[in-house]
Amino acid sequence: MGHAVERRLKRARDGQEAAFLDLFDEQHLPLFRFAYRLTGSVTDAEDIVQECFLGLLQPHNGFDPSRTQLRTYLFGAVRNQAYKRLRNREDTGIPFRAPLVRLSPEAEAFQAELESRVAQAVMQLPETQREVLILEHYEQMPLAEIAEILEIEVAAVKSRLQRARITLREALAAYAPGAERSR
Amino acid sequence: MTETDLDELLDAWRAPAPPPSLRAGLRTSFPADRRRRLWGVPLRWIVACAASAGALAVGTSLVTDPMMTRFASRMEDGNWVITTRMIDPPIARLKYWMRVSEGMTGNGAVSWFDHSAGTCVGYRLTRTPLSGGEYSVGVEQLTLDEIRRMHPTISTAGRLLPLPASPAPRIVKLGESFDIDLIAVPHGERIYDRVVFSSQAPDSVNQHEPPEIRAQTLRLANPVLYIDGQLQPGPAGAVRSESHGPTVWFHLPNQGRYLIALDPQKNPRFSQAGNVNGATLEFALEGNQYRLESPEPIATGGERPVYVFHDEGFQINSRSGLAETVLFGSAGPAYLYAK
Repeated sequence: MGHAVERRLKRARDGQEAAFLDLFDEQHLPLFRFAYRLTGSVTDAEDIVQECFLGLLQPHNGFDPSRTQLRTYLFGAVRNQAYKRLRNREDTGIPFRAPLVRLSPEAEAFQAELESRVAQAVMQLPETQREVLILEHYEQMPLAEIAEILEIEVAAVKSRLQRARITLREALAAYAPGAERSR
Repeated sequence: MTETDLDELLDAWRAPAPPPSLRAGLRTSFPADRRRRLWGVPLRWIVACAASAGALAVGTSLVTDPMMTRFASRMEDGNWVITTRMIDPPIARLKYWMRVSEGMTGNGAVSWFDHSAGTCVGYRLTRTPLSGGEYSVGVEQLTLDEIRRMHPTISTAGRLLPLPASPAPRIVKLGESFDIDLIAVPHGERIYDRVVFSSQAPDSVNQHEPPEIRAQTLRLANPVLYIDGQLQPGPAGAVRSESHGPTVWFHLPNQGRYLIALDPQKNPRFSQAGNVNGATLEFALEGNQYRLESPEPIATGGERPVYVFHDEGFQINSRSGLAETVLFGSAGPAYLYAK
């Protein structure tokens, strides 16, 4: 598997567009979701994923197949790019815009509100907790792989995840089954 | 709330599907001839640089010219402030070639905007003439907003970098040069401006380029533009405007940008539309006649065809306040290879 990815990447770097697109098709979906949930922006997520894949073609690119899997490397690259953009965004004060959804008329109002609240609650987590939660919950990634991407110990992943979930439980308490909501 | 309840709530936040433009954009950005590139720069450009430098592509002596660009502005007393941007080591010039925009205004502000890193830095040189051909010179760091206004084509928000050092005010004689550090990467590149106050107008930056590069380069030095015989109002100010590169362009309010090249590298967006001969460049497009005139040659080698791409979607950054202005500029080879 690893060798196949390596060979495909080599062909892509040699100018074979088909090999490059195969790599993209295999890998891009979770990366796009991760970038989107880190930045809250489809446009940013699109740019980030594109930059990360094009970065693979650079001769001085830091990916070393003997040390890490491509997927792990790309998640790390997406994370770095996302935080770079978020820092720029902080300079200009661009607010996070909650996603819009379209559902059946009956469910639309509540679902839109819930989705927006959940998105905001996750986005308001500290970066270190947010990234762990997104990878663990939304990408169903093993803790060991998260630790490798973030270059931290598994115990630290567990601790951050636990803190994130405690915060979210409090933030979203009003939406728990049976909870009374005041609007 | 149970763990399961929380999981179900979190699932309410769904990520959208990637837009089709993601894959399409990646395809169009995939370089067709990767093997012949270094840092994204077509190898023949690098070889031309190397050959002219006499380095013949040996190790780090690939490029030996440390000069990146040059600005000049004329002061009230008729003398010039000439700012030559340098990089050390010179090989790093290629790394930054296609990712950096540089700007200068008539009041002595100069800037650097790295598109790739999203970072920028700039300063304003304050100068007060003293007696005996001397000047009192100070350096003030520019704000992010000031730099953005100087880079109307950049949409990136940008992150302001501080100057590596705060230069103290000094007294400078006519003809004496001094350096101002712009970027200092630890164990990496140093990018700095060498400033000289001179009674002589500067020579063209283009004269420092290797002949192989110059042959494919267009240069607009203080150009004027006519459309169907009507002179278009250009940007005001005392800056000696000079844009040069494999692609030069002009922007018209509400009409986007017209990119012009001598060799479009088979890019289908460019079509042969006219000719350049010495200091005059003319082309016809979409029923209009365009004529650029410059006091200095726009291209070398006699009459040559030019290729034009009208990028109607291009917009000047609204923060610059220049969206309603005719602007001129240049771009690196990347524009020729983007489909």
